Formats: sequence, structure tokens, C-alpha cells
Amino acid sequence: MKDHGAESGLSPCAECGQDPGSSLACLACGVLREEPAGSNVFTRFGLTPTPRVDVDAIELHYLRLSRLLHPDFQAGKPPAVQDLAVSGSALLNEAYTTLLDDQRRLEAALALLDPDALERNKTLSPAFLMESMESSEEIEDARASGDDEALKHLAAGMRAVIDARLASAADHLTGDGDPDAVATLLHETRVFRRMLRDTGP
Amino acid sequence: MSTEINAPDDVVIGIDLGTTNSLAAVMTPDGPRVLMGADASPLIPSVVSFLDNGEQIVGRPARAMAVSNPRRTVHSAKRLMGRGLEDLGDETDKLAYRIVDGGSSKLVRVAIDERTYTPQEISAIILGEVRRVAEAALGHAVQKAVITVPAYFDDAQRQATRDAAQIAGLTALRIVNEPTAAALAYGLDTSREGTVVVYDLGGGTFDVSVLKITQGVYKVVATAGDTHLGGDDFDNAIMARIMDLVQERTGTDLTAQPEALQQIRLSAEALKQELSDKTEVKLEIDLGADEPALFTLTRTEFEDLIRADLERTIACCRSALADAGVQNDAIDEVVFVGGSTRIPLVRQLVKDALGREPHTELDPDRVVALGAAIQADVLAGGTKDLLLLDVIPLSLGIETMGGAFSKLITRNSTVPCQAEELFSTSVDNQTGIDINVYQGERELVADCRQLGAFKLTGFPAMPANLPKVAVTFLVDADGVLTVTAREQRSGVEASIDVVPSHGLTRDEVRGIVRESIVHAHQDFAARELVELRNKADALVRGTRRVLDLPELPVPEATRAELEADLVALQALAAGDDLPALKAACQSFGDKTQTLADDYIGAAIKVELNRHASETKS
Repeated sequence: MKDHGAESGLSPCAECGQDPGSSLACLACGVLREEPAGSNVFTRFGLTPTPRVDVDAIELHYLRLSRLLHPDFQAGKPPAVQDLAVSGSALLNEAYTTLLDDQRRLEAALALLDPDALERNKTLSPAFLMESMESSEEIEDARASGDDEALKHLAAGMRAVIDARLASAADHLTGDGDPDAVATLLHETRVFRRMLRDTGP
Repeated sequence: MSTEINAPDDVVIGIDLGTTNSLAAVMTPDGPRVLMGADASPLIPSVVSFLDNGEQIVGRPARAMAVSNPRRTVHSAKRLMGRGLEDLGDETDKLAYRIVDGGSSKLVRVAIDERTYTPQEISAIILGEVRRVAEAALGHAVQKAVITVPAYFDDAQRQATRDAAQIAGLTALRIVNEPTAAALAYGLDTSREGTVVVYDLGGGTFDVSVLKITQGVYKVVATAGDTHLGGDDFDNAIMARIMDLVQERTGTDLTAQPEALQQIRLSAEALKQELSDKTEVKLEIDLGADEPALFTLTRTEFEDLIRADLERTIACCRSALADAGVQNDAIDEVVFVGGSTRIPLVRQLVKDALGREPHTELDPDRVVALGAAIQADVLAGGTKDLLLLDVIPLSLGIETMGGAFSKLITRNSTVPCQAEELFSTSVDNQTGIDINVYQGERELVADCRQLGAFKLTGFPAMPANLPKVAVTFLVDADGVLTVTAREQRSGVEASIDVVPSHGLTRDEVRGIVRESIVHAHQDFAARELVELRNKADALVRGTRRVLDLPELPVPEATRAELEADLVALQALAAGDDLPALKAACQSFGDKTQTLADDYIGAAIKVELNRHASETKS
């Protein structure tokens, strides 16, 4: 898997023959289309599956595609095109939030590489469970004593741990990393993310 | 068919269907403009009054009927949209009109004499009046509209608004959130960029939306609110004080006296409005035999009455900002919308909480309609450089084992959005699956709001757990849910029977539309009868005048025949037989046409002669 998603290798647009830039519509000629089988959150942005994305490029692409796909801009079109605009926008929005969320993006990339990896690696190691239980207790204590400063500190620490594991998962995916190791890391970050939510108000 | 230059067919108006007032606006080359009624005001009070003779009146005249016709005058119907009796609580005590349970659906109905009306029908009557005013102002028919709703309206309330439009014969091209519309109206004036908080406190609802605006893209990042908090509640608080005073003085409980209730409601609203400028207001209450009671209310007392409600709005602001991940110092602008933002305490609390002086340049009663007109123009293909990305205000999900709520779409997701879920069967040869859909933020469905029950049927019988029914929950740009399903093994499109919990089924809406068309026919027939009577009158008078002209010697036979026809025509005009009257007018008209042709020349000469002799003398 390449580090930043390469050009998609999407088949040329059936209408104009250009690179469409998305599996949902053709940015070159503006035609909306039913998504072909095998499309995914990456192809909707004209990318191959990738662990890391260029956030600014995603934002830009999102706006260009939204201006094409959003039902507001297809209001005068036949009902079939309007329906495509609604479902296409929904799929675009799903892809957008997935690609900009490190956890969800990595899970999507892993699922395309090895669809069963997450399911196969559900059992977490005793060492990890110990580590997470300690963190959980610290949060519980800070919460019970109403110590907001301590909670903030714990949250920052938790974020650093999550980021480190996600970076490591991305590295594994970029190289010829083993899907099982990536799946394990992603399960662990899921647990930490839940705990991070508990530090909030 | 000829093509008209102005193509009024394509005109899309923006409608703010408010709790207290409604109004329309349209895009012009000089920007959005509100459409004025005959009274030179764009505001149409959202009030419908049903008269003794079955007639309905809407707007200002209806509002004027509130005291004399309290039980048949419906205000604040927006607060009833998509709601059940259990949602309204003791609020119904302060309504002079009667609210009843809707029967099969939990949706409430308004009872007027023997008939009941759904809130959708009441809203449709108001929309009809807005449309009439708009058509009069524009000089052509209007078919399409963008209608605004509170951002925090749930699926049932949005669907109810769409149904109201359909009943009114309007195509609702889009349901737009009020704070978002307001942001559009502000943005167009100044091309603002940055993070904007819209605080919208109207007559019945409160919304707060956090938007990020960049290069014509209006992206709502979070919204929060309360669809049951607004100016009406402040009126109710003042009403309660007045009623207490009367009870204290006379021992009378006014709850059961609709005339008095409406009078007090109007007084309370007026006092509230005066307190925005004055620090103390007085009201003399006529107690009949007793000395009149003097009710005084200081601004401070009023502020104490509403402070708890306003604190709730501030809590909503904080929660929306937290969801948006926006700190106070990142807020660039705060925008005020809704009549209740005129209350000084609102301004002060918001300023203290958000650290920004709110913008009030645009009339808070008009800004939403202006924004709706801008969005209407986008949909009509006019404005192209504007992109509105709005969100779903409440999480959407299904009931799972043990009454747990499983969220499929989380709140503040950009719409349109969708989620897919696989369902299977639990017993062999089961060919139907029930799915209960809820909206809310709590863990148990008992604490969320049920949107409806979906029944999947029509897939082949298979052993338990074998069918895989993929159900797609799609929320469109209006924030309204549609559900589709497909059984993956057989590929059969499963059919879905939707029973809305607080709304109307498609069949019910169609029924109401049909009924209103029947009514429209009756209305049309009544109007035609009146017109024919007038025509018959004119024919009778005209013919008599000709017959009576001394200068015109009409043969006796013709005269006798015409006299007989005239008597017959007058008799028909006095009756209700529309077809007979129509035929009689037609044949008499044809007959007298000959008479007219024969004598018209003579008549003109006679007229001229008379005129000449008059001027001579």
C-alpha cells in the first residue's frame, strides 16, 4: 500500500472518456453515476486504499464533489438523477468522515487488504488489558474527585498513546506489515478512544 | 404552449412558517426581498379562525378573532406538529382551543366543533394564505417553495411540514433549517468567513447552530436546541401570574374560560414586548362587579420568570460548541434570530456566555425568510456559488435486544447520509421482520422518540438466521428518513410498510389532499353560483332597460316571450340549481343577443339623440 493514496486507476468516464476523479461522478463532465461494484471510501475520492491522506486535498476534493453531487445542484433534473444525487451525496459524506478520521480510515484500509483481520484479532493481550485497566481507574478516580486538571492531563496522555499506535498501524500498512498486528493495534485504539470519551464532560 | 419570459412556473419562494408569524420572500436582482401583504406588512400571524358559517380566516383578521371566537381560533399550531398528547403536558391547559388524541397515530388533533384537524392541515391553511399573499405581491401563480423549520425538528416534525405543504398544494423543494437560512441571509450581505454561531429564539422553538463558512460553503458543524422553548413559554409565565392574581382576588379559576384566557394571552404578549423597552409595565384587569385589579410586572420580575428557560438555551449553546469542537475564542460572529432575541436579558446572557456582541442588523422576524429565498434561488438554478451543508440534529437508530437503542447515524452528521444494517429472522420460514426506528441521544429506546415501525415482508421463506435483509436508512437533504430493504440471498426487494408514530401515512396525506380538492370543488361551485347569479341579474336589468326604452317599439309577441323568460331566469337565480341556471343564462343570453343586435344600433342612436338633446337644453 502506498503512503498517500495514488491516482485511483478508476476506469475512464463512460460519457467523456476522461479520468472521473471519483467513483460517484465525473468531475470532468459532471455526470453522476451508480457506483460500480468494488467501490469504496477511497475510490469515491479518486484514491487507492491508503493509510495516510492529505487532509487539504481531501477537503478540496470534497467541496468539488459536493458542488456536483449535492441535491441542491440537481434540483431541476429528472427524478432518477435527483435520487442519484441524494444517495451519491450520502456515500460521499460517509467517505469524507471516514477518510478524515484516522481510526476509521485505517480500519477501512485494513478491511480492503484483509477483510477478516479485525474479526480474527478480537482477543486483546493480558498485558494490554492491565494497561488499560490502570488508565481506566485513573480516569475514574479523577472523575470521582472532580479533578478537572487531572482529567485534562489524562486525556492528553491518552491522545498521545492513541496517536502513537495509529501511526504505528499506518506504518505497518505502508510497508508489508502484517494485517494481524494492524488489527490488534486498531482494537486497542478503539478501547482507548472509548476511555478518552469518558474523560470528557 | 407559449413560453413566458418571466416563466413564473420556475419561481421558487422562501417561506418562514413560524409559530407566531409566517412570511414569504423571493430573490430579486437586488437580493432577497420579503413579500408584502395588502396591509403593507410581510408578517402573517400564524393563526386560523373557523367561523360559524364554516368559513376559515387566516392571519391578522383571525388573530383579531382570538377573544370573540376563542374555541375555534388556532394559534401556535407549529408546536403541535409531529407531537403527541404526552409531549405537550400541561401546555394544553393554557390553550383556549381543544386538543384531542389522534386515535391510531399518537399525533394530536385540533377539535373544532364536530371536526378534527391535524396540525398539518392547520399549517396547510396558513401556507395557503402565505402563498395567496405571495401570488398577489408577485402577480403570478406560485407552485414551489423552500420552507424553513427549526434545526432541532425531528423526523416526524419535518415530515409533518412536508405533508402540510403537500396538502396546501405546494411543492416543498427543500426543508431548510431556520438558523442556517439566517446565516445565509447574513452571509450574503457581507460575505462573512469564519465560525458563526446562530442563536435563534422564536415564538415556540429554540435553535443554536454552529457554522463554518468558507468561500461560499456554509457547513453546519453542530446544532442543538429545544423544539418546545420560546416566546410562547414567556407569555405563559406571565399569563400564570395574571391568573394567580385574579384567583387571589376573586377565587375564579380562569382555566375553563376561553375568552378570558385569550384576552390574557394577548395582554401577556403585549406586556412582554413592552418590557423590552420599559422597566415596568401595568395592566388593569376588569373583574366585573369587583374593583379592577392592577397587575404590575417589573423587568426584573419578568427576567426571573424566564431566567431558567434562558439558562437552558445557554446550556444548548455550550453543548453545540462542544460537539463542534469550537472554543469561545474561535467564534467569529454571533447572529441573533427570532422575535424573542429582542428581550434584553437574552442579549446579555448570550454575550456573557459566548463573549461576542450578537449581530442584530437584519430584522429578526424576517431574516429566516430572506435566507429561505436565497436557498430557493439556488434550487431554481439561479445562485450557483453557494453550497449549504447541513446536519441531522438527532441520532437515528433502531431498537435492539432488551430495548437498547443502537445508533446507526449519529447527530450532526452531514446530510444526505445513510447507514446500512443487516437483519435476519429468528424462526424458520419467517417472512416478515419488524424494525422499530427511534431518534434521540439516550441509551434506551424508552428514552428516545419512536419515529415509526417498519415491517419488512415479501422475501422468501428460509430457515431461521438464513435471510440477510440489508436495510438502508437514508436521510435526505431535508433531514427526512426513508428506508429501503433488500434480501441479499434471494435478491428480492423487501417491501416496507411504514407506520409513523406521530405522523400521517402516505395514504392519509393523499386522503386529506383529495378531500381538500373536493372542498376546493365545493368552493369553486359556490363561487360559480354567485357569479352566475350576478350574470342573471345583469341580464334581467339590461333586458328590462332595453324593453322599457320608449323609443324602441319591440313587437308584443317578442316582448311577452322575453318577459316570461325573465321571470323564469329570476326564479332560477334565486335557487341553487347551478346547471339549470347556467343553461338558462346561456340560452337567454343567446336570445337577447339577437334582440341586442337588432336594437343596438337604434339604442345607440336613441342614446345619442338623448345626449344631444340634453346638451342642447
